Amino acid sequence: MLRSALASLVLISLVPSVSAQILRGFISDQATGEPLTGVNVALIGDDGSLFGAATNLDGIYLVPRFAPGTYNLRITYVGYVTYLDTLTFAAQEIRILDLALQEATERLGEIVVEGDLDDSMTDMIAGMERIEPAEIERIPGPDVTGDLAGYLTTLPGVVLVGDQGGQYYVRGGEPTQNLVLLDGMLIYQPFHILSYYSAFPSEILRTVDLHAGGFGARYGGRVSSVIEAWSRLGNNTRVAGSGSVSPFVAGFHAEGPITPNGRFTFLTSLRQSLVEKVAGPLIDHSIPLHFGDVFGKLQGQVSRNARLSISGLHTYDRGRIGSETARGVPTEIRWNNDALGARYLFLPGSLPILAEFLASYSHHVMELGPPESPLRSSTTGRINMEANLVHYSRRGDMRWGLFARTLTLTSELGGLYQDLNLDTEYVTEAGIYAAPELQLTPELLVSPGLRIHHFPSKSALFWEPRMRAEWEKGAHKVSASGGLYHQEIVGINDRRDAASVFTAWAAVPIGSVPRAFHVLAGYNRSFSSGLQASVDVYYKHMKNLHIAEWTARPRLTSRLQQANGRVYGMDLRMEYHRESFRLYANYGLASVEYTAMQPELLDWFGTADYSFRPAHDRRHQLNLTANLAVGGFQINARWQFGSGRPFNRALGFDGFLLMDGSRNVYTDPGERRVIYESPFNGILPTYHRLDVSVERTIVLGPTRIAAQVSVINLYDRANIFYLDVFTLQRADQLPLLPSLGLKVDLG
Amino acid sequence: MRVGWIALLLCIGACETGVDAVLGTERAYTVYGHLSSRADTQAVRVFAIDGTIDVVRPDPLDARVESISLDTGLRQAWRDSVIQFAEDNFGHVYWTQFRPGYGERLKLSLTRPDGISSSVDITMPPLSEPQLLAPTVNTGFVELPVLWEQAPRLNNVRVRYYTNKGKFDFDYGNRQSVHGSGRIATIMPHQDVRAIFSAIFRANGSTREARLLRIEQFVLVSSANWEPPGDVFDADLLIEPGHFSNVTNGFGFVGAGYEASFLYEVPDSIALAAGFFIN
Repeated sequence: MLRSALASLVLISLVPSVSAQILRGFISDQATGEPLTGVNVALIGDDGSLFGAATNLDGIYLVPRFAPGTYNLRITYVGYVTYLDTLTFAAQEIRILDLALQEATERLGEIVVEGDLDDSMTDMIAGMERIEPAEIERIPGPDVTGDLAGYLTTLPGVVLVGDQGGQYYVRGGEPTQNLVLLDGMLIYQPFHILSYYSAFPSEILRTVDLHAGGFGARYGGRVSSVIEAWSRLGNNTRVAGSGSVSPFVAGFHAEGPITPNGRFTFLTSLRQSLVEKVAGPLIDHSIPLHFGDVFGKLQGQVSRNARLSISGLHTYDRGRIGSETARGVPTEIRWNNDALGARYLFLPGSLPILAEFLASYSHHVMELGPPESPLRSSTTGRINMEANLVHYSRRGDMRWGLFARTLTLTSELGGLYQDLNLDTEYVTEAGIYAAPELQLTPELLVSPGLRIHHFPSKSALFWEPRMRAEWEKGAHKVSASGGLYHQEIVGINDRRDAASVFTAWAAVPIGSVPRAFHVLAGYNRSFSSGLQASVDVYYKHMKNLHIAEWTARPRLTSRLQQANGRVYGMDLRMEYHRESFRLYANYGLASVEYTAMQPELLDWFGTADYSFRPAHDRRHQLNLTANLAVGGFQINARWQFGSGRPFNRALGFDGFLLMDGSRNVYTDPGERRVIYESPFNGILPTYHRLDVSVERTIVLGPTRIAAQVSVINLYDRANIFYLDVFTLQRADQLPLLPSLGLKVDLG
Repeated sequence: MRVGWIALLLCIGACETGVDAVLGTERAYTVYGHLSSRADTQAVRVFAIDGTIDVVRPDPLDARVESISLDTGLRQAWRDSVIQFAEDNFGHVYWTQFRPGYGERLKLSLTRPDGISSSVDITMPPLSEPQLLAPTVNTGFVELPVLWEQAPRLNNVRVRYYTNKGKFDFDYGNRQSVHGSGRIATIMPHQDVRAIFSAIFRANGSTREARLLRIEQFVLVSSANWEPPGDVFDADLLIEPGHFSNVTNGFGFVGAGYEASFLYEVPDSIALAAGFFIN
């Protein structure tokens, strides 16, 4: 085994020669021009020899290094008509074969099972789950169009602390520890202030890869997870579009060819929230949240060997999170994301290589307080240049790349942390990674990796080994992954208050760089009866996290301290699918523990460190999603359950005078003080909610009209969002929300 | 089956959503202050342990506060006075007129109407007389150790320099050393003279003719327990409830101590060594 691995490494690390034949190309859907991922391309020789490849995310395949001669070509993809041909290759021949596969339903005029492999909700491999738009659409939401945010809340390892603020915690990691990418562009705050929505409506999405941990060497700079979304190319056969409206959001999207031959296409989407002016008054409940997003993309085949795409995104959010208390109304928070990126995919004519070049600019602004004089603000700009290459060979692929970035970080914290005064910083980073994929046996794929990440402006260099392994035989899949991760650019926030989502991005302001070690393993099993199940176990050890210091002072300013943490858990998923019925159930068990080390702990508690459950440690999470197509209606239902999260419980409130010998009790007012029980020792009530939607679609020629009635929080559960322990007033998540949505698809 | 589903929905819809954010405590009061053998009126600040953090109203505390001398048995009832610090911010100061003796032991108790009480045991520090020990005098280096005999502890040590150009104060915090049954607080002119000359220069444009006349040291002779952990009065550290507290079944700290001072007429040799002009 070891010899085989070494031999593979040597083979694929050599610069590929041109002494072998290559078949490569691009496979797309005939109706839309969208690339098809995972299409099997097989060349079968007369002697039974088999050479194969599968299309990647971009629909690109490359079969390298086979002997000259005649082969039977077989291209198969579930739900599509199989393509058969006979090809003869001369020596040194490089053949480019682009194909548009025809969906089986159109050709055969019969019903086929939609999807099958790709839209399973249990298909997590080595910590990575590929999410398809069809899966997102199955989750009932307040809007007729789907959104990635709604889907993420169904995942067992993802914790959403409230339906406002857009704060998603993945397997114990904090929101600022998630790397969120759209077409290679970094999005700092991708989720909208109303947490049902993100910058990723399902209409623009091709796939989303969620790496809940143990992610590969291509990704770095974050210690928790990676959410990588790729937008669609846009229809290359005709102009199409849709418009939708609900009490929450109005949206529009359009796509189509720019040139008559369909080589260049566009895709655009626009959404605007209506929740503040329509949904709130409808249910007589103030929802002072406003948001929207605009996305645009141009792409095309610039040459026989190259594709270019340019994407842009703008999002904006404004609102008051929480509810009015005796202390007044919550402070307004605002944020914007702007991102512009270009992606150039290149397949050299004579080499079995795929090269990807990315250039992007990401800009993020967040402000807290009145627009004319914000109390706190943070502005972040990031220019990214990177190249990612894949060398194809028969024994495995060699993936490697390099990157260079420059960031400008400006923050005004307004005294949020007494020991922190951020200003403007300029940070550069550069690095290189390599991750060979070794097909050691037909069943076993191993991918060791190494990422070297350098911050010249901080004189920091990180070596990050990574590992991934997959074993598949029949209906069984076993996978494992792990690695070491660092995060030099951190999001500073105050997690003592659930409604406080203000985040300032900065190069590590105090102490050492946050670091995490992940290890995870999973097992998937497909049963012939339409049943699929999977189990994943994971462990993360985190060092040098930034948290607020413990203090009995009631004010929300504190000092920043470093802490360590550990997370372990298990995700169980089960999916049953038969004809028009689908049931998806999952259960997440997680335990998150932080260990604080502020110097005062020894005096207070007699120990140099103190372990506690942070506020996002939801121990148990259960999700049931059912989809039923009956009588022309699509019925979707989801029930979520989450055990209570920790919070700081108080014994009472008194006052404090510093008795340093010079106090005059007649003139010194002292200050109010909280007598806490112990950090995060209280448990909030459990969370549960039932959402239901019923949708009917009418087809009128090329036009599809979909109407959806939905109810969020059907039994009007008073789920707590946060508790103001000082005033004893609680803010609940949104109540029963009925909604009626209408969507018109043209073309 | 259908009934079961309905029952389940009703159950989960009606199940507990309330939360106890503030548990309450059997501890009665939080109290701060100190008693002095050199004052005719004693006073302490008393905080109720409330259920909310709302600013304190001028409502009565209904606390019964009294002190008893463990040596003489003398009982003193303390009275409430409401102090307004700011709009909507009131404090309760309990006071009484008596002068505890040096070294006297007392118990201060604060009792709620429901009978739950907090209490503090207080030992007044004995009378301490200061005396200057042998000074260390070299050119540019002068230290004047002042011994406070019988002082269990010194706090709030300050030094005032009297010059012909004005008075200059320095805060020495609680810098001290143990000496037998007393404490030494050392005056260090060589450390302070630069700041004095700088101030004189700023005020007069010159330090010529600056002469040191006398030095006075002020201390709070304190009870032995008036010593914070780590010997530093750090508000961020001491604010933790229960930390640096001597209140039984309550929070806070009540010390005992009195202000005292030591005046030293500086001889020319020491003033000169410290860097001052002499006639």
